[in-house]
Amino acid sequence: MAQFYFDLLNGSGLTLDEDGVQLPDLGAAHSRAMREARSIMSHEVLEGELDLRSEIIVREGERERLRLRFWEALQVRSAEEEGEKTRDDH
Amino acid sequence: MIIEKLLLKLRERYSLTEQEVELLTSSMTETAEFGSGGTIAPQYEKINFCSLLIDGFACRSKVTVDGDRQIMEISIPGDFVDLHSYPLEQLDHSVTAISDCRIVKLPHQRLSEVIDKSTRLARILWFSTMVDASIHREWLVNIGQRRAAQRAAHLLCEMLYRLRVVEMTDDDSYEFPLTQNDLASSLALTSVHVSRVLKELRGKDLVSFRNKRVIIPDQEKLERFAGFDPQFLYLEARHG
Repeated sequence: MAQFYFDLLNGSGLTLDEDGVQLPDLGAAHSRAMREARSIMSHEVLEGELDLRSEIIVREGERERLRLRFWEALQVRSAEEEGEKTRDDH
Repeated sequence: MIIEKLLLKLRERYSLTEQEVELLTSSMTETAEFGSGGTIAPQYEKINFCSLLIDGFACRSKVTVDGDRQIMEISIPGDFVDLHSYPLEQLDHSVTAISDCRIVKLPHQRLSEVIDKSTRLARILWFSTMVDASIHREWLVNIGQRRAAQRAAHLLCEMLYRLRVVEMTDDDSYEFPLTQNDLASSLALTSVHVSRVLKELRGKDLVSFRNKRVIIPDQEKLERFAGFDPQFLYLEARHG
Protein backbone atom coordinates (compact mmCIF):
# COMPACT_ATOMS: atom_id res chain seq x y z
CA MET A 1 0.00 0.00 0.00
CA ALA A 2 1.13 3.52 -0.68
CA GLN A 3 -0.29 6.98 -0.12
CA PHE A 4 -1.34 8.54 -3.43
CA TYR A 5 -2.39 12.16 -3.93
CA PHE A 6 -4.63 13.32 -6.76
CA ASP A 7 -4.17 16.94 -7.83
CA LEU A 8 -6.41 18.62 -10.36
CA LEU A 9 -5.07 20.94 -13.02
CA ASN A 10 -7.73 22.84 -14.94
CA GLY A 11 -8.81 26.27 -16.12
CA SER A 12 -8.87 27.62 -12.58
CA GLY A 13 -5.33 26.43 -11.80
CA LEU A 14 -3.93 23.64 -9.67
CA THR A 15 -6.00 22.21 -6.80
CA LEU A 16 -3.81 20.19 -4.46
CA ASP A 17 -5.06 17.04 -2.75
CA GLU A 18 -4.17 17.44 0.90
CA ASP A 19 -5.53 14.15 2.24
CA GLY A 20 -4.44 11.51 -0.26
CA VAL A 21 -5.58 7.92 -0.14
CA GLN A 22 -4.01 4.51 0.56
CA LEU A 23 -3.98 2.34 -2.55
CA PRO A 24 -2.26 -0.97 -3.34
CA ASP A 25 -0.36 0.13 -6.45
CA LEU A 26 -0.09 2.50 -9.38
CA GLY A 27 -2.69 0.50 -11.31
CA ALA A 28 -5.26 1.20 -8.60
CA ALA A 29 -4.21 4.85 -8.64
CA HIS A 30 -4.77 4.97 -12.39
CA SER A 31 -8.26 3.46 -12.02
CA ARG A 32 -9.07 6.00 -9.35
CA ALA A 33 -7.81 8.88 -11.51
CA MET A 34 -10.06 7.63 -14.33
CA ARG A 35 -13.02 7.59 -12.04
CA GLU A 36 -12.26 11.05 -10.71
CA ALA A 37 -11.95 12.45 -14.23
CA ARG A 38 -15.18 10.83 -15.38
CA SER A 39 -17.09 12.01 -12.34
CA ILE A 40 -15.95 15.62 -12.79
CA MET A 41 -16.68 15.49 -16.51
CA SER A 42 -20.17 14.09 -15.93
CA HIS A 43 -21.02 17.08 -13.77
CA GLU A 44 -19.46 19.47 -16.28
CA VAL A 45 -21.66 17.96 -18.99
CA LEU A 46 -24.73 18.50 -16.79
CA GLU A 47 -23.77 22.15 -16.51
CA GLY A 48 -23.17 22.38 -20.27
CA GLU A 49 -19.45 23.12 -20.28
CA LEU A 50 -16.89 20.34 -20.65
CA ASP A 51 -13.18 21.09 -20.44
CA LEU A 52 -11.22 18.18 -21.88
CA ARG A 53 -7.92 19.95 -21.24
CA SER A 54 -8.10 19.32 -17.50
CA GLU A 55 -5.64 16.83 -16.02
CA ILE A 56 -5.32 14.75 -12.89
CA ILE A 57 -1.77 14.52 -11.58
CA VAL A 58 -1.12 11.53 -9.35
CA ARG A 59 1.67 11.95 -6.80
CA GLU A 60 3.33 9.76 -4.23
CA GLY A 61 4.58 12.37 -1.80
CA GLU A 62 6.30 14.99 -3.98
CA ARG A 63 6.95 12.59 -6.83
CA GLU A 64 4.63 12.68 -9.83
CA ARG A 65 3.65 9.13 -10.78
CA LEU A 66 1.21 9.66 -13.60
CA ARG A 67 -0.77 12.30 -15.37
CA LEU A 68 -4.21 11.64 -16.81
CA ARG A 69 -5.64 14.06 -19.34
CA PHE A 70 -9.42 14.06 -19.20
CA TRP A 71 -9.83 13.18 -22.87
CA GLU A 72 -7.87 9.97 -22.17
CA ALA A 73 -10.64 8.82 -19.86
CA LEU A 74 -13.33 8.93 -22.53
CA GLN A 75 -14.35 7.20 -25.69
CA VAL A 76 -15.90 9.87 -27.84
CA ARG A 77 -17.97 9.13 -30.89
CA SER A 78 -18.73 12.09 -33.04
CA ALA A 79 -20.69 12.36 -36.27
CA GLU A 80 -18.19 14.92 -37.53
CA GLU A 81 -15.36 12.46 -37.49
CA GLU A 82 -14.63 9.79 -40.01
CA GLY A 83 -14.83 6.48 -38.21
CA GLU A 84 -14.41 6.37 -34.51
CA LYS A 85 -11.88 7.88 -32.21
CA THR A 86 -11.61 5.48 -29.33
CA ARG A 87 -9.28 5.26 -26.43
CA ASP A 88 -9.07 2.18 -24.38
CA ASP A 89 -8.89 2.79 -20.65
CA HIS A 90 -7.47 -0.59 -19.70
CA MET B 1 -23.40 16.06 32.82
CA ILE B 2 -22.80 13.24 30.38
CA ILE B 3 -26.01 13.77 28.41
CA GLU B 4 -25.65 17.57 28.31
CA LYS B 5 -25.57 17.76 24.48
CA LEU B 6 -28.61 15.49 24.21
CA LEU B 7 -30.50 17.75 26.62
CA LEU B 8 -29.56 20.84 24.58
CA LYS B 9 -30.92 19.10 21.49
CA LEU B 10 -34.16 17.97 23.15
CA ARG B 11 -34.75 21.27 24.93
CA GLU B 12 -34.49 23.10 21.62
CA ARG B 13 -37.88 21.50 20.88
CA TYR B 14 -39.39 20.38 24.20
CA SER B 15 -39.34 21.49 27.81
CA LEU B 16 -38.19 18.64 30.02
CA THR B 17 -39.07 18.05 33.65
CA GLU B 18 -36.44 17.18 36.27
CA GLN B 19 -37.89 13.70 36.51
CA GLU B 20 -37.58 13.19 32.77
CA VAL B 21 -33.95 14.34 32.81
CA GLU B 22 -33.25 12.06 35.77
CA LEU B 23 -34.92 9.11 34.05
CA LEU B 24 -32.84 9.60 30.91
CA THR B 25 -29.60 10.18 32.82
CA SER B 26 -30.01 7.18 35.09
CA SER B 27 -30.75 4.91 32.13
CA MET B 28 -27.32 5.45 30.60
CA THR B 29 -24.65 2.89 31.48
CA GLU B 30 -20.99 2.76 30.52
CA THR B 31 -19.07 4.90 28.06
CA ALA B 32 -16.86 3.62 25.23
CA GLU B 33 -14.23 5.28 23.06
CA PHE B 34 -13.47 4.79 19.40
CA GLY B 35 -10.54 6.02 17.34
CA SER B 36 -11.13 7.72 14.02
CA GLY B 37 -12.35 5.09 11.55
CA GLY B 38 -13.50 2.70 14.28
CA THR B 39 -16.85 0.92 14.04
CA ILE B 40 -19.26 2.18 16.68
CA ALA B 41 -22.11 -0.03 15.50
CA PRO B 42 -21.67 -2.81 12.93
CA GLN B 43 -24.04 -3.56 10.07
CA TYR B 44 -26.31 -6.61 10.37
CA GLU B 45 -25.29 -7.77 13.82
CA LYS B 46 -27.62 -8.17 16.77
CA ILE B 47 -27.29 -5.22 19.08
CA ASN B 48 -28.82 -4.70 22.53
CA PHE B 49 -28.00 -1.08 23.29
CA CYS B 50 -28.20 2.34 21.65
CA SER B 51 -25.17 4.64 21.51
CA LEU B 52 -25.45 8.30 22.39
CA LEU B 53 -22.55 10.24 20.91
CA ILE B 54 -21.05 12.56 23.51
CA ASP B 55 -17.79 13.48 21.81
CA GLY B 56 -16.64 13.52 18.20
CA PHE B 57 -18.21 13.10 14.80
CA ALA B 58 -19.56 9.83 13.39
CA CYS B 59 -21.48 8.76 10.31
CA ARG B 60 -24.02 6.27 9.08
CA SER B 61 -22.84 4.57 5.93
CA LYS B 62 -23.18 1.60 3.63
CA VAL B 63 -20.61 0.11 1.25
CA THR B 64 -21.46 -1.38 -2.17
CA VAL B 65 -20.05 -4.70 -3.40
CA ASP B 66 -17.52 -2.65 -5.38
CA GLY B 67 -16.30 -1.07 -2.16
CA ASP B 68 -17.80 2.37 -2.66
CA ARG B 69 -19.10 4.02 0.46
CA GLN B 70 -22.18 6.22 0.77
CA ILE B 71 -22.55 8.23 3.95
CA MET B 72 -26.21 8.92 4.81
CA GLU B 73 -25.90 11.13 7.85
CA ILE B 74 -23.27 12.82 9.97
CA SER B 75 -23.80 12.36 13.72
CA ILE B 76 -22.61 14.98 16.17
CA PRO B 77 -22.49 15.11 19.99
CA GLY B 78 -25.99 14.83 21.43
CA ASP B 79 -27.14 12.47 18.67
CA PHE B 80 -28.10 8.88 19.26
CA VAL B 81 -26.23 7.26 16.39
CA ASP B 82 -28.59 4.28 16.35
CA LEU B 83 -31.76 4.87 18.36
CA HIS B 84 -33.56 2.88 15.65
CA SER B 85 -31.55 -0.21 16.65
CA TYR B 86 -34.07 -0.52 19.51
CA PRO B 87 -37.03 -1.62 17.35
CA LEU B 88 -34.87 -2.97 14.49
CA GLU B 89 -32.52 -4.99 16.76
CA GLN B 90 -29.81 -4.77 14.12
CA LEU B 91 -28.74 -2.02 11.76
CA ASP B 92 -28.92 -2.09 7.97
CA HIS B 93 -25.89 0.24 7.92
CA SER B 94 -22.80 0.70 10.02
CA VAL B 95 -21.91 3.62 12.24
CA THR B 96 -18.29 4.71 12.02
CA ALA B 97 -16.23 7.23 13.95
CA ILE B 98 -15.07 10.09 11.72
CA SER B 99 -12.95 11.64 14.44
CA ASP B 100 -12.09 10.16 17.84
CA CYS B 101 -15.45 9.50 19.47
CA ARG B 102 -16.89 8.79 22.88
CA ILE B 103 -20.33 7.30 23.36
CA VAL B 104 -22.49 6.37 26.32
CA LYS B 105 -24.65 3.29 26.13
CA LEU B 106 -28.40 3.12 26.61
CA PRO B 107 -29.25 -0.59 26.84
CA HIS B 108 -32.44 -1.56 25.01
CA GLN B 109 -33.75 -3.08 28.25
CA ARG B 110 -33.37 0.30 30.00
CA LEU B 111 -34.95 2.07 27.05
CA SER B 112 -37.97 -0.25 27.41
CA GLU B 113 -38.23 0.88 31.03
CA VAL B 114 -38.02 4.56 30.00
CA ILE B 115 -40.84 4.01 27.52
CA ASP B 116 -42.95 2.18 30.14
CA LYS B 117 -42.44 4.95 32.69
CA SER B 118 -42.84 7.95 30.39
CA THR B 119 -44.89 7.88 27.22
CA ARG B 120 -43.90 11.53 26.75
CA LEU B 121 -40.18 10.69 26.63
CA ALA B 122 -41.01 7.83 24.28
CA ARG B 123 -42.71 10.33 21.97
CA ILE B 124 -39.77 12.73 22.20
CA LEU B 125 -37.28 9.97 21.34
CA TRP B 126 -39.54 8.88 18.50
CA PHE B 127 -39.51 12.47 17.29
CA SER B 128 -35.72 12.42 17.19
CA THR B 129 -35.65 9.32 14.95
CA MET B 130 -38.19 11.05 12.70
CA VAL B 131 -35.82 14.00 12.34
CA ASP B 132 -33.09 11.54 11.30
CA ALA B 133 -35.47 10.26 8.63
CA SER B 134 -36.10 13.83 7.49
CA ILE B 135 -32.34 14.40 7.23
CA HIS B 136 -32.03 11.24 5.14
CA ARG B 137 -34.76 12.53 2.78
CA GLU B 138 -32.98 15.85 2.45
CA TRP B 139 -29.74 14.05 1.65
CA LEU B 140 -31.53 12.09 -1.10
CA VAL B 141 -32.60 15.38 -2.65
CA ASN B 142 -29.10 16.72 -2.15
CA ILE B 143 -27.24 13.98 -3.97
CA GLY B 144 -30.01 13.32 -6.46
CA GLN B 145 -30.93 16.81 -7.57
CA ARG B 146 -28.46 19.50 -6.57
CA ARG B 147 -25.36 20.32 -8.51
CA ALA B 148 -22.03 19.56 -6.93
CA ALA B 149 -21.21 22.94 -5.34
CA GLN B 150 -24.73 23.30 -3.93
CA ARG B 151 -24.50 19.85 -2.35
CA ALA B 152 -21.42 20.85 -0.40
CA ALA B 153 -22.91 24.23 0.53
CA HIS B 154 -26.11 22.56 1.70
CA LEU B 155 -24.26 20.13 3.97
CA LEU B 156 -22.21 22.98 5.47
CA CYS B 157 -25.43 24.90 6.22
CA GLU B 158 -27.02 21.83 7.82
CA MET B 159 -24.00 21.30 10.06
CA LEU B 160 -24.04 24.95 11.10
CA TYR B 161 -27.65 24.71 12.30
CA ARG B 162 -27.20 21.37 14.04
CA LEU B 163 -23.92 22.26 15.72
CA ARG B 164 -25.36 25.57 16.90
CA VAL B 165 -28.08 23.70 18.83
CA VAL B 166 -25.45 21.78 20.80
CA GLU B 167 -23.35 24.91 21.29
CA MET B 168 -20.47 23.76 19.13
CA THR B 169 -20.26 26.80 16.89
CA ASP B 170 -18.30 29.97 17.43
CA ASP B 171 -20.04 32.93 15.77
CA ASP B 172 -19.58 32.01 12.14
CA SER B 173 -17.39 28.92 12.40
CA TYR B 174 -17.33 25.35 13.60
CA GLU B 175 -14.99 22.39 13.84
CA PHE B 176 -15.52 19.98 10.97
CA PRO B 177 -13.20 16.97 10.99
CA LEU B 178 -14.41 15.35 7.75
CA THR B 179 -11.72 14.51 5.20
CA GLN B 180 -12.21 15.07 1.48
CA ASN B 181 -12.96 11.36 1.17
CA ASP B 182 -15.66 11.61 3.86
CA LEU B 183 -17.17 14.59 2.07
CA ALA B 184 -17.03 12.74 -1.25
CA SER B 185 -18.90 9.81 0.31
CA SER B 186 -21.47 12.19 1.81
CA LEU B 187 -22.09 14.13 -1.39
CA ALA B 188 -21.90 11.29 -3.94
CA LEU B 189 -18.92 12.96 -5.55
CA THR B 190 -15.31 11.88 -5.85
CA SER B 191 -12.50 13.22 -3.71
CA VAL B 192 -10.82 15.39 -6.38
CA HIS B 193 -14.22 16.74 -7.33
CA VAL B 194 -14.79 17.75 -3.71
CA SER B 195 -11.49 19.67 -3.70
CA ARG B 196 -12.61 21.48 -6.79
CA VAL B 197 -16.03 22.26 -5.35
CA LEU B 198 -14.53 23.59 -2.11
CA LYS B 199 -12.20 25.76 -4.16
CA GLU B 200 -15.23 27.12 -6.03
CA LEU B 201 -16.98 27.93 -2.71
CA ARG B 202 -13.84 29.63 -1.42
CA GLY B 203 -13.53 31.57 -4.68
CA LYS B 204 -17.07 32.89 -4.23
CA ASP B 205 -16.28 33.88 -0.61
CA LEU B 206 -19.03 31.58 0.60
CA VAL B 207 -16.82 29.62 2.95
CA SER B 208 -13.24 29.24 4.07
CA PHE B 209 -11.36 26.52 5.92
CA ARG B 210 -8.74 26.81 8.60
CA ASN B 211 -7.34 24.06 10.85
CA LYS B 212 -10.26 21.72 10.24
CA ARG B 213 -12.71 24.58 10.95
CA VAL B 214 -15.36 25.76 8.54
CA ILE B 215 -15.81 29.53 8.47
CA ILE B 216 -19.01 30.95 7.00
CA PRO B 217 -18.65 34.72 6.62
CA ASP B 218 -22.17 35.33 5.29
CA GLN B 219 -24.66 32.65 6.30
CA GLU B 220 -27.54 34.11 4.31
CA LYS B 221 -25.45 34.19 1.15
CA LEU B 222 -24.38 30.55 1.61
CA GLU B 223 -27.99 29.47 2.27
CA ARG B 224 -29.18 31.28 -0.83
CA PHE B 225 -26.48 29.63 -2.91
CA ALA B 226 -27.34 26.17 -1.52
CA GLY B 227 -31.11 26.64 -1.72
CA PHE B 228 -31.12 25.78 1.97
CA ASP B 229 -34.31 25.81 4.03
CA PRO B 230 -33.77 24.68 7.66
CA GLN B 231 -37.38 23.50 8.14
CA PHE B 232 -36.39 19.86 7.55
CA LEU B 233 -34.47 19.98 10.85
CA TYR B 234 -37.65 20.72 12.86
CA LEU B 235 -35.87 23.11 15.20
CA GLU B 236 -38.91 25.00 16.48
CA ALA B 237 -40.48 24.36 19.88
CA ARG B 238 -43.09 21.62 19.67
CA HIS B 239 -46.35 20.92 21.45
CA GLY B 240 -46.66 18.02 23.85
